[in-house]
Amino acid sequence: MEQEEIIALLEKYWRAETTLEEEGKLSRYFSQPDLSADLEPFKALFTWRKEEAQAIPGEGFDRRILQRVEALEQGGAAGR
Amino acid sequence: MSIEVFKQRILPMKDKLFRFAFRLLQNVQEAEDAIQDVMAGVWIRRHEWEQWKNPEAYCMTATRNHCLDRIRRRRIRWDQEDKALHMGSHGQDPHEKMMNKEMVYRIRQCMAALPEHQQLVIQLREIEGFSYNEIAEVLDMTLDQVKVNLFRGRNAIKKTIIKEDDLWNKKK
Repeated sequence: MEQEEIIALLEKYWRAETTLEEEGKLSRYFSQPDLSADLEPFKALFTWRKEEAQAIPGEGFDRRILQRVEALEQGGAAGR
Repeated sequence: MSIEVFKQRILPMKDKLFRFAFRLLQNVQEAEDAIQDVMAGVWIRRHEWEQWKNPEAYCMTATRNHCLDRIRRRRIRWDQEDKALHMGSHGQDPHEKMMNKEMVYRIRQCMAALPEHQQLVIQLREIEGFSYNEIAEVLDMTLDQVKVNLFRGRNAIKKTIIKEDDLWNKKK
């Protein structure tokens, strides 16, 4: 993708007017290694987005939820 | 509604719900507790599942209400230590530049200092990829309010990046 197009898209992004699809385009563009000096600082924004999306609860969280729900299931079945 | 349906349709949302709860509660343990409560609530209302247009938005809204309720019951604890989330290690570029790391840290700080509404809108848009309509539904805002909050939040982040970049350029 042309750099000019990316700069225009980034401006649109700051104005909060981009679609999810356009934001995906930006994200893909900024994940490539060699960016021009004026775009390089904004790479961190997209790194941050990715890293935050990887934050997950502690180990065994599924199990704890299911135990809770299964306990309800047994209690609930008895109550019905 | 069987537990299998719960496992397939509801349980997979846990990470997303957890991150949203964590954003509101600022505490890993409490966010986990909150999501367990929310999931238990969803299970109790399983006879309503068919009527939910968008289960994800429903669960997010339930999480928001539950967390706000918890906050009302206590003053928010601002504990930076809790910010050490369990970050997944996949997808990290080992050659990531020092500057990029520093910048990510600054963005994280900037985000934490934003007003709550801006943080939540940013969280749902940037990190969870929600549409404007979904954000409006979950946060009980108008579309205009969603856009204004997103605009302000993004511009605060932009300012942070530009300021940090200037600092780096001066150090060179």
